[in-house]
Amino acid sequence: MNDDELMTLVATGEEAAFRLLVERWETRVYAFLWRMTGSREDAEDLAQDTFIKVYANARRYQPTGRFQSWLFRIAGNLVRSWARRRKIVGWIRYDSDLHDQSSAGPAPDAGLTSDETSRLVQAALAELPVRQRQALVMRKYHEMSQREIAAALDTTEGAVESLLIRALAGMRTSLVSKREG
Amino acid sequence: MKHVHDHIPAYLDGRLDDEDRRALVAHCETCPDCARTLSESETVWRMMGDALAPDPSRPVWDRVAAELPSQYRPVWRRLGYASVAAAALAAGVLLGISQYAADESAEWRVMDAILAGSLLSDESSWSMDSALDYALSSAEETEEE
Repeated sequence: MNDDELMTLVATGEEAAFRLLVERWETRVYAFLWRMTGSREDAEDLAQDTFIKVYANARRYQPTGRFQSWLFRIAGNLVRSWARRRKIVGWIRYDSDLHDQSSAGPAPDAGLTSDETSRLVQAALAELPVRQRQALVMRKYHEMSQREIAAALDTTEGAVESLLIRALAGMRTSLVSKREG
Repeated sequence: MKHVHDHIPAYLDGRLDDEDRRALVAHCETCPDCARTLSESETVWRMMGDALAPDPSRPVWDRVAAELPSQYRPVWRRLGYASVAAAALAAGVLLGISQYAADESAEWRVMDAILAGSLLSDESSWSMDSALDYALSSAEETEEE
């Protein structure tokens, strides 16, 4: 049963269909949210909120084969709200991790363990504006097309390309140029 | 050819066709600035690929199910078959269904509770207490009428 068929059942209150849908997508949604927030706890909270919203809004879903975009749009909107709240209380917690690593050596990824690489990448992602981060994470880790990303971000494919260009430039600055400088 | 920085994301994730890929690579062979940007971008792309995401500490479904707003769930999903049927019968006994025998609306209220029980399929999603509350409230509404 595909996502659209499951959503049709969810809209009628079928909890079993909803469970199937959650279990199909929970790892990907959690990974997306973890990359967006850098926090396991926040990612788990937001993943829960995302699926609750899916359930609550199931009747509004139009089954046109774009479930992933719809789902990631909900998750992305929650991330933006989260980021606004975080801004108020004092921004991303792992900034200090990035600064601690910034003099680690000339070759950006030479000799790094996967944990170190993950931490550096997460810190670099955290420095990107939220929409650039969303576009890059969707493209790189979720293999979403330009059209799917545009739908999830409620923008045009051209704007998505622009976001990706700027996001990649930001990542270069954080991960390579800054470290070499 | 102009600088190719803007085409590098498409190059990295395989969205350029062969001709454009060859043109981009050829340009970088003669343009140190673009060659450096491409090299750095490839490093970033590789590092991102190596950065694995953790799994959630427990299944997201467990949390979702626990927090699912009950107001969105149909009554026959909220109430367990066995618990409601038992509760409805218990309520009928406790309240002395016979005393309502002459009152047609009271009978229907209790029958509602039993009927709700007969429609249920998920026995685990609701507690006996809630089911009992449901049946008792039906009977109490009848009592007030």
